[in-house]
Amino acid sequence: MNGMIIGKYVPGDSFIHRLDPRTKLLLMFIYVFIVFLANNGWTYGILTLFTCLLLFLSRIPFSFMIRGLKPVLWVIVFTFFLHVLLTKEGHIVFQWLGIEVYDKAIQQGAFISLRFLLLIVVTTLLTLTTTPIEVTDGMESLLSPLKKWNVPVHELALMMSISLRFIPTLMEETEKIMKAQTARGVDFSSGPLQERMKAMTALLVPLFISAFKRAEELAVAMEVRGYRGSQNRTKWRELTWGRIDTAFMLFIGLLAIALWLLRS
Amino acid sequence: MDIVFRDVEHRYQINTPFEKRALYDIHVDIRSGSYVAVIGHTGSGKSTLLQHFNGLLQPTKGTVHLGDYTIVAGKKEKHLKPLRKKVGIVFQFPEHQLFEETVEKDICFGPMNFGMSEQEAKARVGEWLALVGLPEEVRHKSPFALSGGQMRRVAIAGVLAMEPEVLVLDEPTAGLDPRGRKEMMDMFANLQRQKKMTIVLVTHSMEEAARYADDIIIMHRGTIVRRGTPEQIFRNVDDLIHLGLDVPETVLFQRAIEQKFGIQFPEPCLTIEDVERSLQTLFTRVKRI
Amino acid sequence: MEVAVRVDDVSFQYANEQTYALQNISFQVYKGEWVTIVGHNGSGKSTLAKLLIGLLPPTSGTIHVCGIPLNEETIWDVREQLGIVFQNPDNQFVGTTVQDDVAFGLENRGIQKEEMKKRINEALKKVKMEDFIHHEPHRLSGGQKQRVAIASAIALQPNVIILDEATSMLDPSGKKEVLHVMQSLRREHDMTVISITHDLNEVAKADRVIVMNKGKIVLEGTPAHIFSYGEKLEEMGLDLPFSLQLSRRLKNNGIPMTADHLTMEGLVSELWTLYSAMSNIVTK
Repeated sequence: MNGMIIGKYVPGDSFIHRLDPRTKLLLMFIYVFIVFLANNGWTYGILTLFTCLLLFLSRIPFSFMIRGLKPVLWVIVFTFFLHVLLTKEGHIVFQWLGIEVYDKAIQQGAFISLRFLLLIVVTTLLTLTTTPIEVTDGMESLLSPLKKWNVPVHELALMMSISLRFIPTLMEETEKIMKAQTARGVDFSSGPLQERMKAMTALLVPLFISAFKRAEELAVAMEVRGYRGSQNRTKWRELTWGRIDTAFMLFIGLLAIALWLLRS
Repeated sequence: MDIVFRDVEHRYQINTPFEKRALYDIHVDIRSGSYVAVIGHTGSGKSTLLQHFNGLLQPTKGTVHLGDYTIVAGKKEKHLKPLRKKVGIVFQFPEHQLFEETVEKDICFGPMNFGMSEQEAKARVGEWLALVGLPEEVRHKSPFALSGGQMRRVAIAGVLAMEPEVLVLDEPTAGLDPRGRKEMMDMFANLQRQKKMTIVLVTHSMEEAARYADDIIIMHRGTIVRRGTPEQIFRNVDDLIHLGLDVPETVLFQRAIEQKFGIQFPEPCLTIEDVERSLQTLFTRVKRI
Repeated sequence: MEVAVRVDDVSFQYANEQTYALQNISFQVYKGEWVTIVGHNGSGKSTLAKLLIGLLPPTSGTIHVCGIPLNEETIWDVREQLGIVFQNPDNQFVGTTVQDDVAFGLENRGIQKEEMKKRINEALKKVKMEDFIHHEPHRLSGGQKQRVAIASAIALQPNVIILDEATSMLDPSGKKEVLHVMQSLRREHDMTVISITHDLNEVAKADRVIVMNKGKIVLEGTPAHIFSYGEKLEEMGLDLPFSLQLSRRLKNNGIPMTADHLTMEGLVSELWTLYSAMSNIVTK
């Protein structure tokens, strides 16, 4: 997991960092669609340029991004070769050991790998520049119309933010219990299946018990501080939609139109 | 089993931007059968140090000798299981590691992992319960139905059942009330005497260190800054205060008396009995003149 | 004096248990007072805490908080009077950062943003955590987390603060931090505090101490009064302050101490007086 950078927040004060989380969530959502508009050199060019612009504006070092992409790189390479080998359109570029490679196949393989890469870069960028709690707030706000249909949006968001809060605590706890059981002769990394099952019990039972205890104590702590659900509740974290957010959304709209017009 | 650390260093998350040096320049010798207390603030590196005692962590530099075992930095050690049988570690709040349906099963878990037969382990549960001062009737109860103090004893019995030669204790009395604390500390002192175990106690409590240990190691910001017998360590009170450590009340009191009376006691007072004796001598001397 | 908390003849029995966890408990806490409730583990002090904050209803007897009788209908009103800090620093930290945690209670009360901001800053300043406003909990020490818990409680401006073994999981420096903060809060803001503990340093600093054993109140009074019952406290599994233990031992050894000292200074100075008197007699 060391190489993975998706989900890690990099503190900063760049243009992208300062965008409203809702803008970033919408961008990601729209991007997933417009990435499929691209189907020729021009449109892919524009999309790549736009993505590089985002990366530049976020001030996330390019090398850092590349390093983070390493774990998914082989998937992209695999996709590319799969297309190159399976597509049989256009002219044969070269033949080798009975394998025929067509020019359209190379083009298509390149486009699809690029599409995949761009999607990953944009999603990663979102998580690198937005704290998990901002993502939660943004989701809550975007989903709030669903409250009309009795979807417990506030409760879901609270649940998510508390989960986020407890992830490091539970990771620490897991490590602690694993160490304690290792010291009692448990081997978590090898051994026959039956022993591994036993090892997992020795880890999971204490972990669950402690998680339940934590949940119970947390519920009490929340109750004594007056938590009674979403009614009459004010919010400390208020999202502010600024002019740059509107401008940014308009820009994405224009980009989508441009892609639509330029696609073949 | 003698324990020797030579120039040990430990870095967490080495070769990442999050790299952190937790230990450095560690040289330790622990004689078989001795009782050593490791003292230091939270974050001084003492928990990192104790995890080197059974190979849970391996040094990033230097060598750790544990009896016949030698763990060298850089070489991934695979066969650590026999070592882990010899060095039992009781972690902080050990009751959090309990998981079996009955006390008996939980205590047998460790020894059976190290190859003891179920039959033998079960036959000896009574012995281990007695060792930690628990009554026989808890044997078939769920460990989770016991009180906090009893749960801790069950967890400790589970480690003792492995019959280790070295017992490493990380804050074993945290969260207990005064009576529970004293009982537990007396129990460990007994184990050292009767079973000739080597005891390494990691603690915040200067009183416990002064009263029970033969030797004290003081850690500060990742390395050992003082090492000596309790008498040597507590002779230099200002030094301890300078390191931001607590000083046992007996020693503080002794210092207050020495300043007020303009005298010097020959030895540092490590227990309340020591103080009592010193004052007794002082007052009988006046009477006799 | 105005009564902040009144407990009248309260008993409590857990379901499926024969013995009472609490038996005929009665006491009062006055406004501005610091009362410590001590007892070894299992003495009933944690059950009492659960009753005071309305987590468990008494089997018999009544509890009044700031004049409000505690029952199912009034529970939320009563809780508005109380600020509670629990034992485990991790399990009461609701927010993802320090400011979010203090804000949580304020949000629940429907307090407006501007006022929230003011109160968050004030509360964090009072516990000296204002420099950590954006910190996440896993980057704080136990003592710091408990200080945030105190800030979260006082931001709601309660009339009574209950510390339910708030320092028992902390290391010595964490304990000191928290006690120090509580002391200064009490000096500057005249707060009513009920502290449930087995920490001696806390006991010695209280206005009044209530000692519990086997579900009953066995002793009640000033720290000096309580500690005068030396052996009795030891029998109940409680520790005595060092100076007091030593005073008693010296007396038994024939050194004519006039008092049981609670502080080291007091003990040293009496010993000096005795010593000089004795050496004077000898030299004359």
